[in-house]
Amino acid sequence: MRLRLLCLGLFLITSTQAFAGGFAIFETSVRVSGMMGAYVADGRDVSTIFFNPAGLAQLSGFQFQTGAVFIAPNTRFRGPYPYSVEETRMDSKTFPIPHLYASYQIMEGLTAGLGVYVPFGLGSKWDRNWVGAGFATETGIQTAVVAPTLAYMLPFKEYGEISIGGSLQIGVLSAATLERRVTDFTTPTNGEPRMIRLEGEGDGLYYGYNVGIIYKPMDKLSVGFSYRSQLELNLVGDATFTNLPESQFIPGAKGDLSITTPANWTVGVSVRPTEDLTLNLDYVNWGWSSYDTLIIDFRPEFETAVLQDSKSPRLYEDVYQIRFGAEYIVRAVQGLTVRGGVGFDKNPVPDETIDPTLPDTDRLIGSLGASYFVTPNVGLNFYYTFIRGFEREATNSENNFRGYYNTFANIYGVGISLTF
Amino acid sequence: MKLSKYLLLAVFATPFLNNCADFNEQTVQPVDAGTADFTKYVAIGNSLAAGFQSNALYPEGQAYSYPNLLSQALRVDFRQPEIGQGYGDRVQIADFSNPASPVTTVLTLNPGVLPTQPEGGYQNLGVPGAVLDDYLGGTRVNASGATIDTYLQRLTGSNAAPYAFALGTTGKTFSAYLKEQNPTFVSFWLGNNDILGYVTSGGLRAFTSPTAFATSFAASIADILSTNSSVKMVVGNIPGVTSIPFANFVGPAAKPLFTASLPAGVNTLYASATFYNGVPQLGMKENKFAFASFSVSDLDKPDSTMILLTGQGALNWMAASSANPADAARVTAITNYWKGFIVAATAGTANAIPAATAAAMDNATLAGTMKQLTYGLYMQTFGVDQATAIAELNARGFDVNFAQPFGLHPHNPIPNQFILDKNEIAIAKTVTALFNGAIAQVVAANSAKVALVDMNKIFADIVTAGFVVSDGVTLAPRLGSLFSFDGVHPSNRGHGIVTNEIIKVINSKFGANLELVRINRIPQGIPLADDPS
Repeated sequence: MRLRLLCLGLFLITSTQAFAGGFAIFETSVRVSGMMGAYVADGRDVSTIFFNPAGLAQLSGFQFQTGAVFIAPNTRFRGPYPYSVEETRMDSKTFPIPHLYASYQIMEGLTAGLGVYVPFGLGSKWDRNWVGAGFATETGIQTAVVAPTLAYMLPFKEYGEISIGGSLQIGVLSAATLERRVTDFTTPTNGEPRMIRLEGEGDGLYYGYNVGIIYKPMDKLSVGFSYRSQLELNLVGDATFTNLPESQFIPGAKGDLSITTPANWTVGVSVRPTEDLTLNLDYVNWGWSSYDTLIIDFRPEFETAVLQDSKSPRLYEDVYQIRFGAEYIVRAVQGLTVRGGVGFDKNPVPDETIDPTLPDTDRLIGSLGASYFVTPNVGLNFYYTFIRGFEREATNSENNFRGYYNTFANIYGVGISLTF
Repeated sequence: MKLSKYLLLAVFATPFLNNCADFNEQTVQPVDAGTADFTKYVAIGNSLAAGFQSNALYPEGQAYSYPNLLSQALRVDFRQPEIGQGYGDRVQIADFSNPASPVTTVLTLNPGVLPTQPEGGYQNLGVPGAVLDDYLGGTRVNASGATIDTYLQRLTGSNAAPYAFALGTTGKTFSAYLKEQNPTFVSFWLGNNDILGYVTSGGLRAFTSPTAFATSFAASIADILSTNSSVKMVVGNIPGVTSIPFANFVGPAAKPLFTASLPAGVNTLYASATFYNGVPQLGMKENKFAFASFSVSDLDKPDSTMILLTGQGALNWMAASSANPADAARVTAITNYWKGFIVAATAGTANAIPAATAAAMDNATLAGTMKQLTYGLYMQTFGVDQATAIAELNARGFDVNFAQPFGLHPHNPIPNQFILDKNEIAIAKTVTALFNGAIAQVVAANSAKVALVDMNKIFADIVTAGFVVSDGVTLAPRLGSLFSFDGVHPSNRGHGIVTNEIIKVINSKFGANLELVRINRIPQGIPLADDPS
């Protein structure tokens, strides 16, 4: 109970920025992110609660890990195409994203755990006078999940070790912010823009699950599979209208908004050619096609001739990620482990619906990480990732707001691991 | 420990890695101009070219003027005069409670100080109020009957209109400005005001003689084509009077209200009328009646009588009579209107009536003065003496009497200024057709270099269809949709539609490959008060 209170305290101050395709986040562990999150067949760290709950069955004693990653994205827009190549930069901001995992081995082969992490998030902010202000000036999605987990290793091992595990994902935080400038009217004489802002908060807990299996036919090889269900975020939004006619934009208007996060499945292999070296390769499939339309449903009493429900087609596509990661124990320096990885992340946003709320792009990702064990029980974890987004030519979008988006991001992470 | 140092170094090195971000040089790609050359585009026009909207000129309207949108499609540099906050009395929405018929108010915009003239000058030479003759700089008669120099020259005087003030006019004609710019491509849409003033004044203001128009148009085009050997141009013709909400909005909207509120059996309305000599080639039928009657049931027929946008307020005066004490306020409004009218109509003449004199008149004196004025107009039009005028008008039932119900009796008619009667509609149509015939002839004679944009047909087709759809946006030929709230000038998106029609002509005539303007990317830009309710 104390643990949970602590976690909630952490998340209250959290803002997030999506840094996988769409608005998914897989930078949920300083250790595992150092090896590009390629972990579905490995799972020897307690953060496997996120990557594959089955991995927990291998862990003994009490394990604890916490940390945070700091995502510093940089996005630029040039356009509007074809008339201009003028550049606008998204407001830069660093988003801290914490995580926490703990596990306890109840008996040989059976381990229970609890994870607290942020599986999805988005944060983008543009100047209120920028050329795309009519689409977005601020967009945010926040989530946090508490995941009680149980994993079990089958007792018969004639053909190798088989572990299974599952998490219940209890969504404890869901919030979204959508803000844009209203361009249907002339600007007031003082130059202040007319704005519409919707801040939504979850109307309660939401639930999902995460299940996985790891098969380890021999010491040097394991394969794994995990599946994560959709999460349905139902948000109640409070609208704020600035410089808009109150007869049509009724103060205190409420609107409902529902976001269904995609299910995903991961299959991977982990090999250990030597005792000190681990190589992991994962393939992840994201079911983003579930994100078809973004509907803002204003309550009937607030609907007017001008303010109506909005339905924005998103038409996201199913996409994949390839993650390759390596971990090496440096025997020359007592207590040091180094990691590295590369990944490719396909973006789910189709050409037709790309807009400044989420100017997504395919990404090449490189990561570096290290752990240093001060004592055998206390490890300090560090990690750095550079994300290089390919230039996104948004020159065919149906909203006709066209141009070029360029994105890169730096992510830093620090954390601590405790084992007893 | 060394390794951790390297790690630290790696972290500090990351800003340099950022330079590896995939970042291709992008440039605005020039368009395929076909046989035209868009290097230097100059727009010649009037308030439409300037981007005047909702009875004012202001930066957010200027930004979507059709010449500015066209310059973006041509992807060339194009400068429009800076206008500060704007100028004019902008019609804007104060209360949106009923979006179908919002309550409007007027904001007087402040143009601020004179901006510094940019190097290279302005390429948008659209000046509100300009008539065709202004291009070469002839003389014309202004609204109050005085002969003035060209519009642009007038602007340098003490009555300088702020827009031209910003343009930095120093007594030069459009032609002189154009020659300075030495354009390779010109859009020329001028001449609307040569008939528009007649229409918006309910037939009180003169229109340009079609013969003079034809001569002036040919000379203007020849002047532009003489600028250099490569210049090419698009020319717009004149839309019909029935196309603009200023003329076609009030009548059809008022018809059901009249039908519901008029006394049973009453279906005839009366308006004061202008006298005409018969000039068949201009569509003028002889009119010796001081009033015209029209039927409520015909109010939605475009060839019948049109109630102008300016007359919307006068509809509140319907049936008011000085015999009915309850109508006192409305009768005062009616007599105040006529007092203003007699002051304006006599201004600058030997019989000028000072405003103070008019204000002091009682109803009988006012009625008498109005009668005298009418006799005078009759004498002037038909060249008869006063006794004949009085006899002939009396024989036709002319009198002025505010005790009769306003609008429902010929002796207390709706002011002429608010009404375009059947005769006047015919005149406006004939004159517009003559103008357009002259334009077509000049274009045909210079077809290698000049292309025609048939604005008359484009607007007529939209009015007939009732709407136009582009990029998923539906625009109706109404206030606040295709048109701005003055009922004459297009809205932001209306300008987009106009621009696309020009682009289509440029593409087909000159084999260019311009992209159409995306209508859904143009903000509606509805003028809204600062604290709207």
